[in-house]
Amino acid sequence: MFRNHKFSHKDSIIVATQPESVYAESFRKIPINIKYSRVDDEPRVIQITSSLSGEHKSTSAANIAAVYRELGHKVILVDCDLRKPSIHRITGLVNTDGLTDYLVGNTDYANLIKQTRFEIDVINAGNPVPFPHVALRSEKFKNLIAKLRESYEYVIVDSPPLLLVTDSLIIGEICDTAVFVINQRTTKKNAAKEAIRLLRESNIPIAGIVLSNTAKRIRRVSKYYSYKYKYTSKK
Amino acid sequence: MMNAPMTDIHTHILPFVDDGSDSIADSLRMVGEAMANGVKNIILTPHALRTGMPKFTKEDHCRHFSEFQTEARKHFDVNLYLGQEIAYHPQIIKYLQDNKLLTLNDSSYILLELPFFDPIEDYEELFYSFSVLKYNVIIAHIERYYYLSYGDIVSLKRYPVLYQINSNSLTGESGRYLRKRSMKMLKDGLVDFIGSDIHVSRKNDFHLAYQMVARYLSVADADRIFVENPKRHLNVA
Repeated sequence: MFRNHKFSHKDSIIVATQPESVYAESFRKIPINIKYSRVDDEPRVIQITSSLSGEHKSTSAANIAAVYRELGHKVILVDCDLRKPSIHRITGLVNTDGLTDYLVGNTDYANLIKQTRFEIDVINAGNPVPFPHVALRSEKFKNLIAKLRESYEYVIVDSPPLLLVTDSLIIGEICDTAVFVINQRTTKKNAAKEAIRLLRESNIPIAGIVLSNTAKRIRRVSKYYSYKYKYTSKK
Repeated sequence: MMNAPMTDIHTHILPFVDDGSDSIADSLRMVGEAMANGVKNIILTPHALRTGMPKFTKEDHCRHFSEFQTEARKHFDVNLYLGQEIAYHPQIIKYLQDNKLLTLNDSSYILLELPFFDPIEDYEELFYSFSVLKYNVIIAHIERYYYLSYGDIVSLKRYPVLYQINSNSLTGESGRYLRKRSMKMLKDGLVDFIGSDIHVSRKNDFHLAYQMVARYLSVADADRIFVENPKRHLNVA
């Protein structure tokens, strides 16, 4: 009969599901640091990216959105990883009526935005399209982000890895800042350096770095730093 | 012959809606044959979303079912139920979300037909979506997808899915390969349901399949597959 299978990414908004945990506390520092990365003009459209896949950027994006929601802000999480979407799984949705469907005209704005049990509004990636970078370069996508900017206080944009596809650089052009995620156990130093170089060359300001999946010895030093956020540089 | 009435969960008896039957007379004959094989509960599962087949909505299927049920009751003491054999389609989740498809006898179970040639790229995503929408999945004639190795069939079971095999695969009517594969699945405990997948041109060997399960496993196992599982999951009598 039925087996119990745990689908990947399920229940990974730790800020909402385990609000008292050390991990949740680490995420709560991130909006503060983003705010102070540019005091006069606080970034409101925030891109989350990384060098390669499997660095927990979607989990970070969802948790950052959850922290903004916890602070009482109106926030939307947009899945722009059109090639390997996962935000819908993190938020318990099905990937229908998403961004690609909107961009190709198969759904409208009213159906695009989904409410979740985490009280975060979400835009799914939608059905796969042959050339995601073309969809992301469209005026319709730019207009959508502009519309979201008017309707929400914060727009968190989950985007694909920088070293695999150009999508993130295209998305970066219309975001206010980028948060770069590094998996402490798997990300190679050269990969991280190369990805940050790409962001800088494209004039995408980096608000900071989230260090995910930190080693136990770091966590032993201070239990409050299992997810560590560090200010690095800005444009 | 066993005492408890058996349930056939996969049939193409409903006339005029797919390649199962083109006349009421043929459909009534198929019901009679099913009853002669010891079947008392029949779920009619016309094709849905199948490429190359005429497109009928679920309302069409309900209307045809209602008409045929009235006709069948004049001739047989049989319980007919409605469902669909839903072929995989890239928009299947959207169709389910929009409530455009039928489950088996209004239960939470859908009978899903996988593609016969191009394997689905992301089973995890598909089964995840079904689980979010709270649908349970029975994969129709799992032994018939040749691109799935036996290891794949075992591996897919890690997802919350149930397997149905065809009676004529088990009896050897569809060839030695399918017979061997079905027997192995049966002995490994992978089979949850057996259906006839009866079309007008096929022979109904449901009772022979029951006897084979009873002989190779046990009468209790045969009763579980042919009687209890449908009763437990699909609200049949």
